[in-house]
Amino acid sequence: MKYFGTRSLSSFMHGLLTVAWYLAWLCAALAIVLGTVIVFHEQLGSPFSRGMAESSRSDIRDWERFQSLPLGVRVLILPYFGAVMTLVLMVLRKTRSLFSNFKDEVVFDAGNVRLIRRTSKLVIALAVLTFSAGSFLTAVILLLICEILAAGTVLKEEHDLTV
Amino acid sequence: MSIIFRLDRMMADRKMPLNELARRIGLTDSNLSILKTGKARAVRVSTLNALCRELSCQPGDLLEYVPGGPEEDNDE
Repeated sequence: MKYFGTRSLSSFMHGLLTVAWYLAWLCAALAIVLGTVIVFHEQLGSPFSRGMAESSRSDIRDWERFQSLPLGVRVLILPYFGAVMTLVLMVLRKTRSLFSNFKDEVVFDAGNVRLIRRTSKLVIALAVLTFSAGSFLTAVILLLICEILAAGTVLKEEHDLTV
Repeated sequence: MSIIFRLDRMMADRKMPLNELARRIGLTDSNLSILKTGKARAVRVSTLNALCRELSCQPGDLLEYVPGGPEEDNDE
């Protein structure tokens, strides 16, 4: 299997991430609309929000508990959604740039090291926000890969400057 | 760099253009340019051997040690 260059795994991943990037923007827009409806359902009197509450008994209980919260607390869900979506979009953007470099056969490069380091920090932030142990583990593995890539970049530079 | 490569001086003395020397020792012009401008981190013994052969000189004629260069500060 070819990993770098055109018609490789990196090229396929770049295409996949480009689609994911636009889908994430669509999801972000939907999340803003949904979040607004959920938070301001009383003011809006939306039939959609009533329909959501009629889905199941546990959902009704959760919905009632959420409704009982003061508006000031309910509004907090919006910046939370915003922060998560922003982080997801930033991770997608950086990963897409990384695979774009891999597609162009730029592997051992200081720019890639920076991209992976920043991505791992973003994934750590996402793991903290979403309480995801899996994401945290992924971020730690990414940090280790970043250090390996940094060492590889130094070796490549040495090799390139050996005459 | 504390070690200075005196390739440009030797080439001027022998009236040898860069592309001609590169062709004779089997290096690319850009690699020889790296050596000439002092950007090289390491030199292979085979390269040094070829340079000495083509320029009819000793390795000491190509390399010069200048104390107190920036490389020495990094070694501390």
